[in-house]
Amino acid sequence: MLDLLNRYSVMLVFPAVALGVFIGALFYFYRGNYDAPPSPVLEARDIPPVSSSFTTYSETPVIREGTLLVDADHNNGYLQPEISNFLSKVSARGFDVEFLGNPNASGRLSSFSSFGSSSILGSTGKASNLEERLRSAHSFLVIQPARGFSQEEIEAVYRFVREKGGRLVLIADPSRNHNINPLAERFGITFRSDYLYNQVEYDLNFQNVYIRDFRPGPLTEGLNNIVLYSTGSIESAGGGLAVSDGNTRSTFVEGVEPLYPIVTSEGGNVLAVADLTFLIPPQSTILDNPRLVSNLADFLASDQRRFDLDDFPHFFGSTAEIILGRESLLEAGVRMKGVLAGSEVASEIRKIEDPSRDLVFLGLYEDAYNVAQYLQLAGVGLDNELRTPFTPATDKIGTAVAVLHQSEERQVLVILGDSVEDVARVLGSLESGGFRDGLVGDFIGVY
Amino acid sequence: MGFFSALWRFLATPLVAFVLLAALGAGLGYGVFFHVYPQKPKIGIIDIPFTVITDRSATVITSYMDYARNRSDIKGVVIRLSTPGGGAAASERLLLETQKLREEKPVVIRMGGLVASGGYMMSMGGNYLYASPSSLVGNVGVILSYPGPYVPDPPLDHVVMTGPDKLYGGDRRHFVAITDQLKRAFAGMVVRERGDLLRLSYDELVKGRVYAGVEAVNLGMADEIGGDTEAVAKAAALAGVSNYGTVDVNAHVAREFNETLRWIYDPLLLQLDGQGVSGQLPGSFDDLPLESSTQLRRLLDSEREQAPPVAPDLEVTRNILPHGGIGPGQDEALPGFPMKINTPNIYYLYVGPSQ
Repeated sequence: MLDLLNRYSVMLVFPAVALGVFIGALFYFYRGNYDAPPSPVLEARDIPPVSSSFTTYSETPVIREGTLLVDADHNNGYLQPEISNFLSKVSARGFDVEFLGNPNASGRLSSFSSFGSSSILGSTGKASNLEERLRSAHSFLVIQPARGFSQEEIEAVYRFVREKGGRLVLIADPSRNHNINPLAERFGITFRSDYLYNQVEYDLNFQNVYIRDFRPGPLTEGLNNIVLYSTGSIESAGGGLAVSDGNTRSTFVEGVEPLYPIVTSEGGNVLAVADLTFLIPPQSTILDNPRLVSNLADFLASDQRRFDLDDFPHFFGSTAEIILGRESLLEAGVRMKGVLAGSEVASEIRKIEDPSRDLVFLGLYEDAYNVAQYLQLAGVGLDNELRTPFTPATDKIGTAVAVLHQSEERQVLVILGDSVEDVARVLGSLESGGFRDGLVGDFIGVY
Repeated sequence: MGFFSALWRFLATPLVAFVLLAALGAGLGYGVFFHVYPQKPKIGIIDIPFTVITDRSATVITSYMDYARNRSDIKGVVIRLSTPGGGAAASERLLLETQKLREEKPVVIRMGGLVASGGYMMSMGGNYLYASPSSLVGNVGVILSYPGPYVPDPPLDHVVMTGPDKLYGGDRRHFVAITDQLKRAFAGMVVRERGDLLRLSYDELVKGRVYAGVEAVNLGMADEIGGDTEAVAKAAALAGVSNYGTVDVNAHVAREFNETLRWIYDPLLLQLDGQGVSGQLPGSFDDLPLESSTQLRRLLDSEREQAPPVAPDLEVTRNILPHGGIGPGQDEALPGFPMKINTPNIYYLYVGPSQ
């Protein structure tokens, strides 16, 4: 039996060696087990959907007559649908909206349909053209000019603001090409080519920054929290109208400092905004943006503009009457009517003055007693010689004088001459624009 | 008979039987261990030289990872990775595939010159990250190209749609919101994955900066400075194996791919022989680099146009060609459709300077 057991125990060598080799190899090659770590997943529930706060603002605008001139002559980088909503608000305030240049040919403007009483003006882009357009404008809106303003154009805009009290709004968005600084710097404003961002608190994206700190004023009235979607910062000696918070940074600045996306200059007559997107629906309907848009429309539709004699005939309203000193000036009266009609001023020749309407008086020196009060207020004397506060006494023979009298109620333009021919000569210079050579003051011209 | 009786008597002696059975046992043990289970351990090496992650490249990379996962003797994987990222969905796919591989085998990422954005997202699926001192690492964030104009597009007079967002999927704001959501998901995943190792605030992380390898290690965005040797050793250590070998996964997948090509194209070549194609083909498909497969298909397609139709079933090959693309191009997706069809335009992509 034992022999048999020994004989068959040899058979155990086979599995024992096989197992031994297996285990030996196992220990030789394997020293442990792999414990897979848990795999984090993209936790969808931790990521709530992003949303914005839409608001509405019901405005009750003051209706005024006036003209907003919108630059479209410098390859301006905006599309008509982007600003039409805003311009409609300006139109709703009674203002005409006119374009300088052809908006169809400008920068990003691929399509244009007129709205309200908008019109397309000449597109020569010459400084004289801009200056001429500004004569009739109460305010000037410049958005994203890719082509810089010439020095002559800059001076024309400067005079418009400085001397005429016109309002200027400069808008340049750092995400779009612009060359606005040559114009802006004339008013002490520099648009920096940075952009602002806030990684702590933002609307939809870190570049869409909240602005909550405002300097009190008409433009910031009612504003608590606005969102600018692609704004940079502006440097201005006049200071900022809106200031960023401590979490908002500039790509130009390593640390945190006050950054101004909206500034004013020239006593508040120039407004610069480093963002276009807040004007564009639906961005214009987020938080207090509707109120900012409304305030901006109010700012542009203001009656601050001062008109001088060299702005003829744009100081008149939409209607005026013409009074003749004598019947022999009937032809001059008809001619003046034509001149006014060319500037969309409806006029009629009347015999009796209506003190509630704008007036053009045409007469000879002998007729001066009819308008003596206006001449006296202007300091013009016509006794034996022609005298003005700005010129020495002059012989009246062969001369003419133009005096503009302005009051809250009406504009009165008085044109007197030594003869009918002298009056006609003044009318000719009014038609050609040459009358500005004879201006001796803001309200008096001698010819 | 006398010979066999003598042989039996010899084998029946205890010593000879012992030796014989021991040898057979050793052979069985060896055979089972090395050829059945668990086999000699290998570390699979997947090489991803500079690659922009697209649907196509993701398909190829996935095939590498599938191979490594399915081969039982590969106990750990090293992925040599250099990529600026790419398409969002393709990058997420690679993250998920890497995580899936990691659930079975340790995955060590050896970062090359640039592992940014979607590439960094993919590396989050690894167990351990090695960077070179000058590797550019990070760039957490999302790019959305052309989210549409600020003003919603007007309706089209030649298209009828059933909802305001049917055509474009939403306005600009909607897409910007999507972008921010994806950014937060990406950054949140990095924060969770790196855990306490990460010494970078969420706000800093979502700035989207790239960091040099040394700084990335200091900030916890990578684990250690190291190269291939360290990466392979780490994969082996994580897998608990020693005395391991290595497997070039790319080469094995390429060989399988070429065998598939041969299976498909050999009958075609026989038919095309004498018609001008075979003279332009290499002697063997094994000589073909993977990239040549597209050229080969073009060649065969052009020949097919000129020659009588000999391979009407060639179209079926589109679905098994990792490099050949799947389906028609976007331009011809719907011939005659009245508007351009957009390709996906959300990216986890780095476009800044490289080394």
